[in-house]
Amino acid sequence: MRYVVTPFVDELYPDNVAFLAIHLSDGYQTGFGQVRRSGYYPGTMTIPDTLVDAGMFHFIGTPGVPPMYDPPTQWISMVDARLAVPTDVTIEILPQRLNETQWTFTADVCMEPTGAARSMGINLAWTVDDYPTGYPYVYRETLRGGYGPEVVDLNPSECVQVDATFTFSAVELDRWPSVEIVAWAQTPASGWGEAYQAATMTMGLFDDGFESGDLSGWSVTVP
Amino acid sequence: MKGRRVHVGVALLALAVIGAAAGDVVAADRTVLMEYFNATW
Repeated sequence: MRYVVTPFVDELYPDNVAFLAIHLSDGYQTGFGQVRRSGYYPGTMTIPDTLVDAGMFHFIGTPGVPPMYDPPTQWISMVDARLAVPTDVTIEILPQRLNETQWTFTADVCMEPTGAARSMGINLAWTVDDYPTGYPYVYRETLRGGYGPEVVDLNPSECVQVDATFTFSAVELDRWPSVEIVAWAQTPASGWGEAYQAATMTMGLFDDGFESGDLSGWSVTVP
Repeated sequence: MKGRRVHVGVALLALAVIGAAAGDVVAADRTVLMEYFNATW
């Protein structure tokens, strides 16, 4: 069955949606995900439930029209509304490989010269596709862990770097091209808030060994 | 006089270009964060 996330993240918004599928109470929950649920989601939650930009929009239930839920119309309307709102924050994710299983990711968060000084909570997390398995649905963008929020004060034209070191397991290494790093900046306080910017980076970019330094699968040919 | 008009015109054009550049505030492209709380079933 074609899972509702698939056309949404791959075809509708391949470059401007940072998607975290946060599993709860099913054995695949994470500490970081539990904090997102408890600290930033006030009140009772009904699964499934979707938060857009840290609480700017909220939708309970599976989006779209049964039985295929495709297109997910409620998600689309929320995302389009947020994409129409200008932002003054940029985020770039910079990777550094430490060893076979550990990477440090730096979120380079900058405020444009015309931006408004503010405090922000910077978060980094990672997801993986096709996990868990053994179910009728293909689960994608599953949150596996994260770091944050690290609260920073940013003025116009300033940048700040926030580092997070993640240790990957066989779950990630077996699905390496689908591992995605997500970073975002949001209001630092818990409860409903606002995300000012987000960014993603797929680890499939480093599948060829160039970034890791493993060039064993490559050769040099002089024309 | 004609030459002066040309100079004024060029100056106005330059001011217009400078003004457009200064006022051309391009907002950063936004990436939207979506947190989908779910469970296997």
